[in-house]
Amino acid sequence: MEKETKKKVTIKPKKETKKKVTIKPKKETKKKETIKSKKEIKKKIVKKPIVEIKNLVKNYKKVTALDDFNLEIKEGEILGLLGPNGSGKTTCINCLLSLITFDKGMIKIFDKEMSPEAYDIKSKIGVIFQDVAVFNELTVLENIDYFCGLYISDHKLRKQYVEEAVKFVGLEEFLKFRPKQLSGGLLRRLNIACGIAHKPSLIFFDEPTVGVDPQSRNKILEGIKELNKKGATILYTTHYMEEVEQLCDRIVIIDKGKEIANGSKQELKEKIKIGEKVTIEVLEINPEQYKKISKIKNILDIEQIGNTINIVFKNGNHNLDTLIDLLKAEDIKYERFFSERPTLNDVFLEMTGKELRD
Amino acid sequence: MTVFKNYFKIAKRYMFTIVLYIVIFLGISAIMSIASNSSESNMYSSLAKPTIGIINNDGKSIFTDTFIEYLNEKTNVKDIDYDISDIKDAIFYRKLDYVVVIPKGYAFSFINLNNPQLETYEIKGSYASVYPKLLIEQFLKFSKLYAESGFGVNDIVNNTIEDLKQEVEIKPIEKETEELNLLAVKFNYLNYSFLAILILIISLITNKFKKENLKRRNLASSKPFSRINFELFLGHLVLTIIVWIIFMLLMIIMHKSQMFNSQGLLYIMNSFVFAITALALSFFIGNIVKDEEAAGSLANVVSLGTSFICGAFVPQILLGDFVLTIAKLFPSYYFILNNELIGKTNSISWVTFSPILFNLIIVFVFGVCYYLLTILFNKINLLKKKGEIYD
Amino acid sequence: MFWHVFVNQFKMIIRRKEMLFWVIFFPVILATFFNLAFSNLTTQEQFKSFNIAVIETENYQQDNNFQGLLNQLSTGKNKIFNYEISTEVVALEKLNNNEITAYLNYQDKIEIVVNDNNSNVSILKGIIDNYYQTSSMFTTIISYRPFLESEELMTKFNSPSTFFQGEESKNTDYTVIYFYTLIGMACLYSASFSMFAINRLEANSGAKGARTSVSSAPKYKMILSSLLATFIIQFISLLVLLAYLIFILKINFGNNLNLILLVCFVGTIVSSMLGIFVSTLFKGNVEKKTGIIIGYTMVCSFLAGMMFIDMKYIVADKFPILANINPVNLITDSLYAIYYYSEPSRVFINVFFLLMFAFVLFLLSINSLRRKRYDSI
Repeated sequence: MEKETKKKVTIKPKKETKKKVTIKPKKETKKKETIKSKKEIKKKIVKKPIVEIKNLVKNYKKVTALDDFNLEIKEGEILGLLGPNGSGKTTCINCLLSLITFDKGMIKIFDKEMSPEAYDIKSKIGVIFQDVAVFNELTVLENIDYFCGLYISDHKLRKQYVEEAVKFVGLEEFLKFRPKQLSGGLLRRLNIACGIAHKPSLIFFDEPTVGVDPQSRNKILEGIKELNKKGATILYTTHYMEEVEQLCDRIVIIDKGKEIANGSKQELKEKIKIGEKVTIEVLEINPEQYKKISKIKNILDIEQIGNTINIVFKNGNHNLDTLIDLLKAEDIKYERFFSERPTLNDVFLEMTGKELRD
Repeated sequence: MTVFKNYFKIAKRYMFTIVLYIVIFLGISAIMSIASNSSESNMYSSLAKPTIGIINNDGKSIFTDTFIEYLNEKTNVKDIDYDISDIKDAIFYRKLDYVVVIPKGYAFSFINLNNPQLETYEIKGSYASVYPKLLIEQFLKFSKLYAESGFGVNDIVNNTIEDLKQEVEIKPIEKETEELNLLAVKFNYLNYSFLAILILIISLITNKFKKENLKRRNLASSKPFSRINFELFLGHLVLTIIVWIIFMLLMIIMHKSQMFNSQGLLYIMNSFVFAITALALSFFIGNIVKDEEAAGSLANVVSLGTSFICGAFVPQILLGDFVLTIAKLFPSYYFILNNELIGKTNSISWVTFSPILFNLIIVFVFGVCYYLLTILFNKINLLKKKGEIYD
Repeated sequence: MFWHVFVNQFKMIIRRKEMLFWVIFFPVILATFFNLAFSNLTTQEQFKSFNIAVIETENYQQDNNFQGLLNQLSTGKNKIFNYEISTEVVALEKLNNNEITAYLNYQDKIEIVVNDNNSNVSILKGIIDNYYQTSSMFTTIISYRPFLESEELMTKFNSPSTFFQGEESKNTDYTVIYFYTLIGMACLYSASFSMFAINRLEANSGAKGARTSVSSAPKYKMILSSLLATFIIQFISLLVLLAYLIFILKINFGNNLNLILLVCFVGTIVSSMLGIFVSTLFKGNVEKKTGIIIGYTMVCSFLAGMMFIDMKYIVADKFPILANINPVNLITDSLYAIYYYSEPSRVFINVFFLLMFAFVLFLLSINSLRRKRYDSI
């Protein structure tokens, strides 16, 4: 939406501003983009990737979980690994962490090859699994302290870290509770605290919000953003596209062990044909009017179900203006009118023919 | 009957443990059967000949020779040197039940009424050591009285031997009774096997079932809880019968001829009723126990404990009154008692059969009680947990 | 880091109260049952009288002494049996119906007719044998020495005899060995603790194991500290049982406390190794592994003679190698040797075998203990 308003702003001052701006409007937008990207560059200097996966193949008896999979995670970015259930996301993380064997390929973290005994690499990694990994016999505080203690031996430092972790997830009031006494959302927060207490610079989140209520989910996502701001590189796997849209700088879409698409959300959306989806619930419309609507430029697909008209536009501009003008001109009355930007699900659907969530 | 079908899916998960336990107890039962056949000195058999060692430091004399000859007839005598650690070893490993050392000058001292003493080594309290001691005492007592009455050595020993030859005849009325009795012992061990296997498996499965069922109940359950329980019980019943059949097959294979007469059938019937009751008891335990680890421990406590105090390992005759009073609280007691009775039964008449039938009924009633207790317990638990009523 | 993991593992074990309760108190409860079962064996006062019948024959009617004997043995608090006079037909029927243990048929000689051979029958036989023998003796003595008074003879005969050297009443009790097998069993049984601890560290046992595997804590430290925690718990639980047996049930363990503690210590080492072994070398869920430990413990206890004492000697006789690799048997033997012998060489031999056993288990497990990747988790 931001871009929309910006666009509008640039159209009018076209006449008012100086030569630089008027000469080549196209370049204008480009410049704006380059200015913006300069800002991005200031924030994220391109470095060698922290995580490199090359040609990874993992077979489980009959099933190929990862099929010549490649992945790169750059320092300081939040990479989303998006894919339906069974696409290989968890397998990918397990291979990364050297928890399972793989058949072919190479995995490097911090520019060193990863192995189960690579303690120096492991000390900088934090993991939050989908299943809550805490001990029921220990209290909240003891759990965080225990897992932090597997990395940090110094008492004082550990105490400080643990306090910070507790504050970070907001569990100050629950320190003496046992995991069994916590609700699902709080349990997840504890899970996160245990994974990040030792201040790792690379954090893996494997579907951390499955089965979590929306408030807790938001808090978790906010927390992850904060971690990233403090300098952590994050790999986030999920099959919820809304989270990825909200959170990630770059997204890799995976299906059946293969990379389907790779890029920022904008780049991905631009790769597909779909521009915008509009749904209008009209009060009444006759076939002629319908035909007129269907002849609007840039329409990819249009259908009418009862009083609802679904229109899919190609990637393009001014679609809404044109449509609204036409509706006014024809005096077509409508109850509801909503438009939707293409989602990652659309990306996925177009590239694989399946939905992200079944 | 979805619950019933589901039962076996869950049981499959524990298939390894189930098979492991059945194999272990089959093995134990088989070994016990073989071992108790050939065992000479278990607590049960009373007329076996003990094995003793005699060390004669007194040289040859009429008295000593006769004494040793006498012991030779009544026991198995093995050679052993006078080495204290060897002697202790032999007794430690039960190669000898009893060792007696005749010190130097014993015979002379004894005849002259100086009350000399023999050195002995034994394990106090075992039957195998009591019997040799008794034999020696007899000989010496008689000899002493003859000596005190002024008889000469030759007369002393000859008269003593003559006297001690006196024996009454034991006339058993039927020869098969001994083997039948041993069969009773083997069926008694089933108490241990059945209880251990059934309690462990049934509590594990019931536990798993309850956990999974609790989740499902929240979704949709049109079945009343008691119906679910019943079908669960049916599943356990099938399992129990399978286990029972396996053990019966073992018994038949090991004692072919003896199983196909009236006694054999009685044993089988007795074990069946007990198996059902064991099932009910296991079901009860499975419903009260929350922790899976507790299941294993409880299985062992109950099976081993009842086997000891109800007479499977230590015969009922040898148990004290207080113990037996406690033992009567368990169905195992009546099961074992019945096995003993069946073992003594020569002919089936109303008089011989009625006590057996009575015990069968008691065992069955125990089973019914356990089942009812389970239902009661579950109902109370149900009412406690929820404020609303689902069913 | 070592102590950090140790303290936390320790806390976790202590807080699983049900498990702690069962593993510690199961042997205690069993010991109580044992004690009840054996309580009667060592005291010979308790004796249940049985029933017999006597057929009224001429010989019986003429033998006043015998009648007197029967009377004496069937009255009073310590009576051996109850008897009644009946006909042969009735007696036979009662015998068949198990209403009487035996009946006496006094023809030229007394005949004991029985249905079944048991200890009561041997007692009866012993009594009547004795009757004949003593009668024969008195007859002989008086016929040759008529001046002797029969009453005086009786008194002499019945005076307490001192044929045997002062009873070494210590350390020759038959039933203690059962309790020693119980210690052996309890030892192995607590292997569950170490099994659980090691299980938790493995990546293929859930998210906790995975998180632990991913951490930068060296695995050998984690194993050692977890093991130390479980070892202490296991040792303490064994000591609890030992204390219960010695101080409350008053079972005699001999005098050498140091050796007893040594045996318990080594036994606990074996049990720790067993837990590791089962945890690493068997795949499957926790229940399966617990089942294996329990099953193995029971088989070993059986072969060590817990249910049937002769089993121990049969094994020692026919399969001596088995006797030396069965940890329950080794522990039992060690304790028995401490109790029975005055010098400890046998104990050290058994302790050596136990340590060998533990070492072998450790070697077999060591490969699986290293940090590794799994095929699938």
